Amino acid sequence: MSDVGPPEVRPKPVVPAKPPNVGAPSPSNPFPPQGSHRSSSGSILLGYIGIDTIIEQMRKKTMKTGFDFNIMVVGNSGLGKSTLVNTLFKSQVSRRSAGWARDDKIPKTVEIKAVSHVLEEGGVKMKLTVVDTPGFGDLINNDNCWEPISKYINEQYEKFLKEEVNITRKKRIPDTRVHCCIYFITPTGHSLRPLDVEFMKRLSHSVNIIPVIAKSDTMTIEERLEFKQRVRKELEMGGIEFYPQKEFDEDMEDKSDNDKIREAMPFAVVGSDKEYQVNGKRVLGRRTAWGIVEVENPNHCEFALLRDFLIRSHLQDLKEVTHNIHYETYRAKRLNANGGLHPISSNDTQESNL
Amino acid sequence: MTASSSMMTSLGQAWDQTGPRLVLDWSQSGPDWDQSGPDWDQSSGSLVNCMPGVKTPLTVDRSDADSTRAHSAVCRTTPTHPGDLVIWLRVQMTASSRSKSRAPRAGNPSRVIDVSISDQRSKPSRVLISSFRSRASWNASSQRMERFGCKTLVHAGRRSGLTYFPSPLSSRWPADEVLRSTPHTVENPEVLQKADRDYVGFATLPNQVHRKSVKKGFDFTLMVAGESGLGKSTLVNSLFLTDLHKDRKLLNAEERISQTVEISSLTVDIEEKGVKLKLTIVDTPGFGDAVNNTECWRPVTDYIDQQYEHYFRDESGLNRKNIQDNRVHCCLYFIPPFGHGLRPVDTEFMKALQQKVNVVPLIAKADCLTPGEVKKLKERLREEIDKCGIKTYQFPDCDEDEDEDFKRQDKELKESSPFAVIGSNTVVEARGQRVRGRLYPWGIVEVENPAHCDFVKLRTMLIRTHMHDLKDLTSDFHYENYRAQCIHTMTSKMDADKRAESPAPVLPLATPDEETEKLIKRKDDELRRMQQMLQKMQQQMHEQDL
Repeated sequence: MSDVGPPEVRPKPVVPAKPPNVGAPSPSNPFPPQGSHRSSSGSILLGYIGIDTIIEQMRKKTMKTGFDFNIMVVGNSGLGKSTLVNTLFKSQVSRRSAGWARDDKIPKTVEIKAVSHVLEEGGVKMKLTVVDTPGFGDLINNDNCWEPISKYINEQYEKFLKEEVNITRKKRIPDTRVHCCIYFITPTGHSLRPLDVEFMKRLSHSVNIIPVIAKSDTMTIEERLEFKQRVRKELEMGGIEFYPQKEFDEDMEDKSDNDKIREAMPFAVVGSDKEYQVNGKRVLGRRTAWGIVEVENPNHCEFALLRDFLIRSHLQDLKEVTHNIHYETYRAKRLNANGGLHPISSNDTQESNL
Repeated sequence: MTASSSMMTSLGQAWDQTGPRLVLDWSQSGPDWDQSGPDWDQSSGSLVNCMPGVKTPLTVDRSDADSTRAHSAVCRTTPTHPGDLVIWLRVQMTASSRSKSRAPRAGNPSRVIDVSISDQRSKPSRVLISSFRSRASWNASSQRMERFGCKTLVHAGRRSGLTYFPSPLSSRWPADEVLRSTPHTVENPEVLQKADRDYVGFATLPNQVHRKSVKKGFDFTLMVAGESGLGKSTLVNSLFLTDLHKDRKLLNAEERISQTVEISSLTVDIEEKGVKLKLTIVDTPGFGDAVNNTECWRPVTDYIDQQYEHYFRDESGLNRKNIQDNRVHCCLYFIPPFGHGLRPVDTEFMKALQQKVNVVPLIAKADCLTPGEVKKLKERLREEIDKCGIKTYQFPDCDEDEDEDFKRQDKELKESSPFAVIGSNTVVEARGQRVRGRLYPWGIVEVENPAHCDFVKLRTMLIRTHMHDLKDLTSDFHYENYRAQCIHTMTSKMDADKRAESPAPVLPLATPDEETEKLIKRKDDELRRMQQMLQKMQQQMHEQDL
């Protein structure tokens, strides 16, 4: 049987190879035959099979089970992280709104605080977890302030790995791995700060990092362009691969799409959860003495681009890259390090051999 | 008329170096104008045909193009101080100026007028402008002139070409009410002669000081501190309307990882209306940029101490004529607007510097905050500064006899600290005018609009009103602290040394070093050996004798 389809990179359901000498279309087929169809490997389909309904089936499944998405926000305090997350998901999902009193004191070490919410839209349920990192970059001595974050990310991988190597696995392993880390760059107007470079260097290989320029209403358009160019150059010089990583582009179409996005990154965003009236419409924005900054106006800031990129086009891709690449890297490292045997952890009573 | 001629003489005498005091009152509802009478003689530079006590029209040259035109004036002499001219200028507005709606309105206190009296000297010896609303009045009970708004000049701005200095005797001028009520005193020449004898003339000391200092020029050292990218250089350029940092090399993050805080100072000489200012800007690039910022303020405090030490040494030297004053007079500390208040590095820096220099905290890049956020942030900052016990520069209270408006402005100034500033040197078109500002797609931020940011307040405070106070505080308070500390450490060290040197009983000198010890030991050994040999020889001799 000929090999159908491209080599398996994504966990697509396996479609059995179709025999080359298929007969007339089955009478139970509701769709009229469309003549001969060509599949990607060149074999000719002499009728409509209904393979494409798999999409519909997947959709129904997803709607029933829902899916989860974990996003982490990292940056200095006061850069509008919580506001941006609230704006992205159009609801009060950040740590601040979840009942924690707004932390006035800067914590002594970087803490990790995760808040989960279930959002529903169009029948699709999403369990969104926002992981906040108060205290990052706020101290006088910020050496190794990325370590708690790195530890947290690895812990989530470890949890998933443990579940995976169980003999009796759960049907659906709860996924707490961080799918996306939004890093907030301070809009100094000059260039990246040393702390930014250090953090991104160390973490770009274990998690998808999306750099954004926070509070970008502090810069004029020209300043913003200049700043972005400089930041991109510095990221390149530092060898920092932010999401979407060049090496994971699969085909030309992906590459061209992602190239366009990479050119526009890092996105300069403004977040707001207040609405104002502009030209008869109610828009989210910030009202200053000299005008209203509209958050979703592409002439004002790039929030709409970020939202479309993050949620509307690359949400699933983020999860896949995390699962197939970052998690696999971690898994390989762990298994190699222990000579192929899964270590018995303190509260693990089962033994499993690999 | 003898009366008038004697009057004239005294007037003529009055227009000399010591000069009269002129009061220009902008009240439009002035006294009635009398068309007849004396006139200003340009050639002789004096009033002619002046009838004492009579209001006289007097033409005063005005030299400011866009302010209201001074049309005519009245001169009036005061009885107790002959030679003083009280001039009321009738404000006549030309059509163009009226259209610009620059009318002195009630509520518009300080009218800025550039006036030069055309006399032999191009500058009046002293001119005081009374504001429109607050007319000076004589308080008979306290025998003082009240609401004399001469100090409204401080808010006058650049257009005022007037030199200003406080008048010690302004409070003793009688108002025209008194004049009107006692006209006879004016016409009595004998009284005048007597008053002339009582007038010593040291009231003109401020003039002399002023002239001397203008010739010498002023210097001012300003330090700007804060993380990079907060708009420090832009603000300095906007404040002094120069481009101090033309070719600045911006380092990128890789280079900055290994950078330490350095201190760079730039000196420019700027001149305005004959007053020279030597301005030194001290910048602190690299402050707070690194990952580990422990003690990043150490180079800054070291620099400040160094300047004090330098001055101290110069002052204690033999030749004190040309002491270079490089002491830092004011430190503007830029707080980023992105945070929720003071960060640890901010508190530590300000604590370290509060005893050494006048610290003025500013909120930088305030155009990313809405007005509500600005207010909240200011309150939080003020709270936290109080809580941490940081002593920033406090504006001195204004005197009791100041103008109401001045007091109000002063209060406003104090309440809006720390200032939220925006800097820009690019000119954009806004509301039909060319202003300095920043152009955004959603609007234009005007730097000099007090509703947009506190830049105007900062500039007023720093340059126009409190520059001298900052310098005074630096030299009287901070420098004296340093000096006292220095001397204290020096004397305590000297005492410690002295105690070691005094003839204390049987205490040897403090630990001699190793070499001398070795030498001593060697000599001791030699001595012993020689003594032993001597003993042996003595024994031998003794035996021989036996």
